[in-house]
Amino acid sequence: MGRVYFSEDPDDLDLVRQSLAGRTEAFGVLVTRYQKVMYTVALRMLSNPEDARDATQDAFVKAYQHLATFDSRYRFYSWMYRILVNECLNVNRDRRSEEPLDPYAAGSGSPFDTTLASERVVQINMALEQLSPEYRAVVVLRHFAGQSYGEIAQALSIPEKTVKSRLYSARQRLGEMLLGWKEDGEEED
Amino acid sequence: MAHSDLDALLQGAIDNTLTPEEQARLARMISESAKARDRAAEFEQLAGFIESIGPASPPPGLVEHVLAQVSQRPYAVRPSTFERGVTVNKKILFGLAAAAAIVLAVITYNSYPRPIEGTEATIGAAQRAQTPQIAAQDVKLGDTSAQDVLQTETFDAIMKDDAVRTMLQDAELRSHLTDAGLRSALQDEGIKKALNDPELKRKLSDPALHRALSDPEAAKKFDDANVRAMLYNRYFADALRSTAFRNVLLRNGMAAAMAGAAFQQALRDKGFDAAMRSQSFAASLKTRH
Repeated sequence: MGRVYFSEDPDDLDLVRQSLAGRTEAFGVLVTRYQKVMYTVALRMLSNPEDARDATQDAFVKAYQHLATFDSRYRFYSWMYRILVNECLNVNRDRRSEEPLDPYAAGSGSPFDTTLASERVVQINMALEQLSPEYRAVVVLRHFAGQSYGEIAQALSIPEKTVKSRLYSARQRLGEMLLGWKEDGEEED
Repeated sequence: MAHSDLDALLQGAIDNTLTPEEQARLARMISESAKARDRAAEFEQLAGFIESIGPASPPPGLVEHVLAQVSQRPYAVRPSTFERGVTVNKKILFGLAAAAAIVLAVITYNSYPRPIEGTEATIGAAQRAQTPQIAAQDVKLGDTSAQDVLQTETFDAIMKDDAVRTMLQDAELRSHLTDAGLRSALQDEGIKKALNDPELKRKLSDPALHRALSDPEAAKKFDDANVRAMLYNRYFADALRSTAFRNVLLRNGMAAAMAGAAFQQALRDKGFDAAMRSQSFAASLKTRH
């Protein structure tokens, strides 16, 4: 399984406090800690390593700029996901048609891994691209960030029931595209 | 049972959200129906298939790049040193500063022992469209730095320029200006030129430009350099999608004021971001000095 799980780190809040006190190196620890999962989410959302890099970097910078608004009752990474997903949705919206997506480039981001990009990686990336950005976001946060319905709901500012329904519809579409599922509503009996 | 009910349970199973009762119900269905078993296998296969591509490796230098940017723009930190260039009505300034200090003291007292003072919930904020970048309601800084903001040369310059002062009374514009990307865009030479374009109002009212804001293909059809500068700057184009922002530009003298020296100086000031979030600053703009 390829989820990018990470442990809940109790000292995230402490690092936020230190960052707010002006210690940028503390923020650097947070960036180091979450760069992999954030970049993975951005890459699966955008299917373009350069856009994903920019979105990830911009999201971290925005998080820093608005760190004073971070509510300590929430998890830092959930807050980060919200910023990152908004960033990705903006990139998707602004993306120009002269920049065709390259599903092969959306492997791991490293040249070595790109050369090893399997047909499966290409297939999945292409299928993800067929989803609307809103549907793609729930799939990416669930499958590549291991987020719960509640966490996804927080990140996207939507009700949990919307998360469930979008996830269901997105999976149905992915199943049709990737595994030849029958279209939703087609009864098998 | 309808097919979708089975799917709902299977989705819950792969997402680990089923109650014990639902688990038992699903187990019963799977044991009794070959079709249910097949469907369960499909769901598992799909989840495994999607996740098989695994995590990605972030590009080298990402952390360093972020730190380089934040170290140049330490917005998270309350501005500590401001030039004292106050020549405006000092009675009003001191009054506002004193009021801000009292508010701060009350907030600090009431929020103890909250570890991060002056913060407000970001997650769980009122629902809104997903695409806007961090909106003002998400990033209220409070007035922790209001006292400093009111004592800056930037504030002085703003108060001396009627057009800029009037323009910044617009709360939605101040909200837009909390976005660092837009502030950077407004300092771009191409954008400044576009803001000074005598035909700007006509161009902003062109339905084709509105279409182009949501259709990259339509954007390509513009030959006008000023329009292209606006459309092709991601942050400025974002702002243009807002009716409130466009309306500011359509008001007499406002676009030129944005490209003018006083506003440009303000944009470069480290305290500008805090000023855009400060209620005391907003209140003071309404007082002519």
